[in-house]
Amino acid sequence: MNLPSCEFLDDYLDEGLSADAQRDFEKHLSGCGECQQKVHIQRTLDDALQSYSRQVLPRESRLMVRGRPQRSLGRWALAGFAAAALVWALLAWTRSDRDRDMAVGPAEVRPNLTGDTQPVEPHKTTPEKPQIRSVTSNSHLAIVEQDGSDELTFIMLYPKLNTLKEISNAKTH
Amino acid sequence: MEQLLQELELPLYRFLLRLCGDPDVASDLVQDSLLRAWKNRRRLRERGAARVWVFRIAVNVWKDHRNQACDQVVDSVWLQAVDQQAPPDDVAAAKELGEQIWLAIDQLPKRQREVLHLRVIEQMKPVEIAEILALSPQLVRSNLAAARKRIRSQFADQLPQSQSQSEAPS
Repeated sequence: MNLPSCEFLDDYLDEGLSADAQRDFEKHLSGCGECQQKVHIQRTLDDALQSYSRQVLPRESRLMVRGRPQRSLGRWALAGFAAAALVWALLAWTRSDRDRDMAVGPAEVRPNLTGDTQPVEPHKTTPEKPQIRSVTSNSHLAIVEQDGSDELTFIMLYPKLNTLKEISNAKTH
Repeated sequence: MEQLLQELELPLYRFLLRLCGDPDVASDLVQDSLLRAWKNRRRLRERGAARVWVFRIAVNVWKDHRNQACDQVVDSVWLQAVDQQAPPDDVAAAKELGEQIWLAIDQLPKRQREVLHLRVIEQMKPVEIAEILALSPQLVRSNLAAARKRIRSQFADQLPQSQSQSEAPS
């Protein structure tokens, strides 16, 4: 039983039919064993693939990439990032103080090659466009914004893929 | 936006793994894609189209990377890794139908495997796939149909017949 509308099977599966055409095809489908079997096969295959890619694949990938399961370092990574941010903030604070001193202080005088002395322009602090960049640890990825004074602002901080998978595995086991 | 990017990490990883075939490279490309998406977030005009937009960025990141390095075929990588490193339970699970289909898709022509992956695994509409891969919707549909036919014919013998088919009078 091979009606002409069998040819629309793939359009039907991929939402490529208009509402009317879809209705017509469904009428055809109810009487066509061959199309029913193809739809059944396709849905079974799609389900199997979706299930594999959502559940098995991440675990397989972790095994393959690392060779063995890794311990989650989530809390340590957070502590590490916090410590790094503190150090960075201290450095930024120290440096900004130094820059301010140079900007408002008297012109520095340095000898030139001829032995004369010339005032040297104080270091000017020009505003810089903030830079967005990523910082990674073993288990976390942070997206940070860094402005001209080296100040670091965390925009996003989240576990890297393998950590997510470990969390997911821990929940399922 | 932050939440969306977090939600997209695993889908992006799957897709980039499909494209490049190397889990380490795929992980790096995911991070590059997320970073690029975040940097350019102000260029996103329609919030509703964010998913497609991020996938498109991932394709561009992959193209940039491909110009420098990897363009491997995936199949043997997966099988070797599963056979050598996974514990017995996982090996058994990996031999199931889902993995066989995953590997079979890798044998399809490049365009067919890309569209089929986005359609079946990420459940995107053909119009969205067309936008991500910079193809016409017609080309997406024709590639989808060809890919589906090939995969169906490959696995038809392994599946039981549907109830309605087996009960249908001959």
